[in-house]
Amino acid sequence: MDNREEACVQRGAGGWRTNHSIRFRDNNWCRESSMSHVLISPLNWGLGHATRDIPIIRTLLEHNHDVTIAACGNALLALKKEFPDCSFLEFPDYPVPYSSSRFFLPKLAASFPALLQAIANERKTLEQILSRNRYDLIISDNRLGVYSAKIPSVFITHQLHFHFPLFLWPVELLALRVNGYLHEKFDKIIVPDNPPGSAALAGKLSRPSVEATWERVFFAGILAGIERSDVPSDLDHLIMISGPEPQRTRLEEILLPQVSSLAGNNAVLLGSPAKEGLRTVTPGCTVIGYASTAEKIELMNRAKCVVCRSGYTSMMELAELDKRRALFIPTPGQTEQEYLSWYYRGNGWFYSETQYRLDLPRDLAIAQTYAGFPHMSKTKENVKRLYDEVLTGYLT
Amino acid sequence: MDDLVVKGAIALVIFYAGLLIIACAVLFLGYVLVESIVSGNYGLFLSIIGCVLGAVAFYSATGLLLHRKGII
Repeated sequence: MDNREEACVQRGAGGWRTNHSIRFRDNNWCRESSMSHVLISPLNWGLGHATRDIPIIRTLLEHNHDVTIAACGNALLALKKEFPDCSFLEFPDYPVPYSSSRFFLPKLAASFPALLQAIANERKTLEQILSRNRYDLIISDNRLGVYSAKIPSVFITHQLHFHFPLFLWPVELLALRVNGYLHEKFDKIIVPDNPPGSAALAGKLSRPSVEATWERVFFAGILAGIERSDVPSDLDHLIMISGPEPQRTRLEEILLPQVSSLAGNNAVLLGSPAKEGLRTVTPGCTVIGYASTAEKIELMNRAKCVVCRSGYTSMMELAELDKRRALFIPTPGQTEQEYLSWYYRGNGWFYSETQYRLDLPRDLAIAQTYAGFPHMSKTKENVKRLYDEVLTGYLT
Repeated sequence: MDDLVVKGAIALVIFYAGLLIIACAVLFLGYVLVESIVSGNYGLFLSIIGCVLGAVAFYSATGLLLHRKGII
């Protein structure tokens, strides 16, 4: 039997709708397929974007949709491991403007032409991808050029509002306008955070400021790629050293000599793929060169107190696991992490300290006096609501 | 060419031109300040310093106000 699949994409008042039917040669419409095809593309600046997309991909697969993952580098590798049955496309993204020094902003400003060139290449590659396959929905996680005028496109970001040092306030105002312009390219902006207010995990970063963003925004709540498990909390401190080099190594050099002064049962994750296989066990402390995702999740579940960078994905993971005790060390020069640390400290949620002034025993004692994140809905509930209220509107 | 790329390129040209204008203005102001001291024109020197301090105060106050109002 020679079947032919036809797709009809319509955009009406209620948004986009896709209808698929299988039509036999005699032109009789026989059955409706329940399957839509989703292209999901996370940015490969660290694993955070790929990680928070895991519950979304899982939900799409549970609803029998086809998912093609277009990414590059470690993000692609991590998702291949997590979803071996999905289709994958190598899709290069942008150069990371991380700086080896504190001068993140000048380096970021100097990298704009390379960033624009990368977006131009991204647009061309996307056109090629879309011409080879039929997609019903595009989900872009912080990839500015991954959208189409012909296919419903949604954008996942927790940064509706970029934070700059106060003396650069005109740049911050300008960035709001630029963000608004970029958001107009998408049908929906999905923010993995609670709505603005006392429980907003990203503070002003996830606060819409321009009309184009307000019209499109959907606050999904936290989306973490890890789950809480019932294991005993037998680890006093879990120290996670992560992030881009060379700051990761610098933090390792600062933290490791201080760990021996901590009491109790402790573990240190160096987060260095080059040190995979390294495992040093001393009384009261285990140092692991590179932990698998499963091992990291298990250790996080077991930890009473976590020491880590203040990247937003880590924050969502701590909120998901209901961790109340943590110490944050922002990556120098990364304005987002510096803002989040300041915001949590100001709210009395978590203590933070710069790596240059870190005194682990003293800072951990102070960290015990902070209250932790307020109660909030968890990923399982959030991703269900996201699917029911947003994604299903674009899918069959 | 793609709309996003074209507008992005225009924005970048404006952005870098703005930075260049600011850098030129700072250099020019420095030159005038040095000239005014060398020529003994202290009135001009103090006037420029006064204007610069006023502008910095206005700039800082605007930033603080926007921060306090929750706009930035």
